[in-house]
Amino acid sequence: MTINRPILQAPWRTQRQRVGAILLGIVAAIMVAALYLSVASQSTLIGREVQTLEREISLAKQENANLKTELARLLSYHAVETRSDGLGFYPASEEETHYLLVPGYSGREAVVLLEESKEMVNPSLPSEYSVSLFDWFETLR
Amino acid sequence: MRREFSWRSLSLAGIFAMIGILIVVQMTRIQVSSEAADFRDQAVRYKGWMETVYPARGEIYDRNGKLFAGNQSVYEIGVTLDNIENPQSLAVILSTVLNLESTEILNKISNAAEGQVYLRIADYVPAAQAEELISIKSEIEEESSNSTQSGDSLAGLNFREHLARSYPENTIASNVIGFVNQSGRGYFGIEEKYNDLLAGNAVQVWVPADPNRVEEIPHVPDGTTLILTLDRELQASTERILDESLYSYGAQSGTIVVMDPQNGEILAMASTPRLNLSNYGQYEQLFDSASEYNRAINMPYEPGSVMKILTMAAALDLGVVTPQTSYTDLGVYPIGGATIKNWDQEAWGVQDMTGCLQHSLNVCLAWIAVEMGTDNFYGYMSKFGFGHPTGIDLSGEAGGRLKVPGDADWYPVDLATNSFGQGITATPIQVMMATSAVANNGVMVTPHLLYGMVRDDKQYDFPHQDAGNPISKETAQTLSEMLANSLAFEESKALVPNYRLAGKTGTAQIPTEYGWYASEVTNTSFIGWGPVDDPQFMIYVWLEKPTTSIWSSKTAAPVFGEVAAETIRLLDIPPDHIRQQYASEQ
Repeated sequence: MTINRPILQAPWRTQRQRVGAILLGIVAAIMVAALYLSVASQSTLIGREVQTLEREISLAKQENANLKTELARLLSYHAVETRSDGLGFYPASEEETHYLLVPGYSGREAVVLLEESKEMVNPSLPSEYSVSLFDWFETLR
Repeated sequence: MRREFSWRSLSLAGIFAMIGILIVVQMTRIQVSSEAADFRDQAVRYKGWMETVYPARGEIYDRNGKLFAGNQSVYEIGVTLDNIENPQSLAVILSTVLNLESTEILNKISNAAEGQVYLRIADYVPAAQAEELISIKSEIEEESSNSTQSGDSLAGLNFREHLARSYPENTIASNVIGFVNQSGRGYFGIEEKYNDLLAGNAVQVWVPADPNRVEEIPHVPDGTTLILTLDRELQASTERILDESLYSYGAQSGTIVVMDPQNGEILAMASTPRLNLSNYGQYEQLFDSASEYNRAINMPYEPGSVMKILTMAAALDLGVVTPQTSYTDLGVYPIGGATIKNWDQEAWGVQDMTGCLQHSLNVCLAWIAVEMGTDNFYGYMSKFGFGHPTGIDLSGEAGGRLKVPGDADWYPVDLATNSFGQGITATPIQVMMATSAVANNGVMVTPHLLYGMVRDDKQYDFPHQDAGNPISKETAQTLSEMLANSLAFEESKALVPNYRLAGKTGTAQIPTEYGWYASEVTNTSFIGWGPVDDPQFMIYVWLEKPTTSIWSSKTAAPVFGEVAAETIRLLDIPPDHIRQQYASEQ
């Protein structure tokens, strides 16, 4: 004769286990959401900063153009001529011109506006701010 | 106990469930409502906007880095119609500062179209005027915040700063630079020729409002910056000498070009009249036609005896004559039913070829052309580039006219007249390009103004281009010596002490609209280069209708001498004996 005697957990214990599992799920979800929110907010802040910097670059370029033009006006031919006349300078005549032989000097060279080619700086955001959470998980696998 | 209070949990759960259901219901209702389309449109509008980005126009520099054309901030001034509080005071203040009619501004505001949000009042307003308005606006705002009474108001006034073309040198090199109008298009000269490079490419850009998508905004590169071969100091000096010459010799207008004959770089190019590029609206008052903008390239004319250099070059190169060939000048030369005479109507007797050039004998050169034959003569003229543009990098270059046998209006006498520069038209730059072969050991150079350009943070310098070898090195050197000797023998006013120069005068009659030549007026020209043993400059002078004298030797030649002296000073070219001493020490 076989005796089947089922042993049941106390009901409050089962409930506690369920609640615990649900809470664990909720905490995990909150952690993921908080992490995601943190990354997203930082990414947004950086994006806003980039926008501000780009605006500043644009304003700086305008200011640079203004200053270049202003400088060119101050150093324009007629401005310099007027100032040099005022200071008592005059063009040297042929009799007043003395030539010196400078070995190796081959005359005036034309202007070089850029001494060397510059490398382009990539203004993109670090990958941490553009990779989604799922992409990040992918990289861990 | 637990059961007793379980209704509380159930009630709370029910309330939250109900709230959830209500939210879902409301979301569904909004999605399917009649306003859903409007909300969707609004969402799209807030996502971002399309914007046309115009790159900053590239700058233009001279060969020493002096700015000829740059950019400067100007303002667009407009009003947001809904925000205007006092249109009368707005109109009065704007009219006072911007020199506009207040009634006109008021009419614009009151007659704005239905649904119009923004109205542009003025554009390209200088920064000083805009800043004055900004300061008035803030003063009024401050006053109104301190008082309860409603008075003047500039509410609704908007300012948009943007870049516009600026020319710090005003008139200097204006004939070469050209100008840019308010729609951003270049006219004349470099501004027109290189408009696409300078302007860059305007790009339609989607600007997302979402900062996370900031990377999607493409980078729009600025226009290309150009470096010209011009030397600002030499250009200004050349223009000054040209202006003084017009006054001294009573000439109607004129042109002076300075070029490096070894590479075709244009060092200075002056022409009259000149436009102040900061006020290009005066264009129509100054010029009757576009061809007057830069006479050096736009206006072909009969150059006269400067062409004798090229006739002689062709004859020497063919071996038809040598410097020692003698010719007995009888003062007349009959050809094709016409008679060619010398400039003074006199016979000069026995002359060698240097004498023919020195005394500028039409009869001698006509004889040489006939000795060469039409095929050879016109073959050489074609090789020298006559009849088509040089390809100089300026807009609107004219090609001149070289009539050749077979053309309906070519007659045998043209062979003789063409030999001394009548009956053929060419621009000063064409004559310079052709003559560069004589100065540059037989190699003809292409005149150009672009030295280099800066693009994508890199500077690219352009190598010069040769335009062929129409004559041999020996011919070029022989002819240079002949021309230098002829200048020295006649004690020309073109000479500069301590420098050996070669050159030739040209006094040309001017054809009238009736087909014959005017008797009282001439075009006087001079082309020369130096130092003969190492030419570093070639100068062309053209004075139109001088009144103090009709002869080139008394007008264009002294102007050449003055420009040559200035060129020597500014380019630091030592006297011949110093250069030769240095060369012997090497």
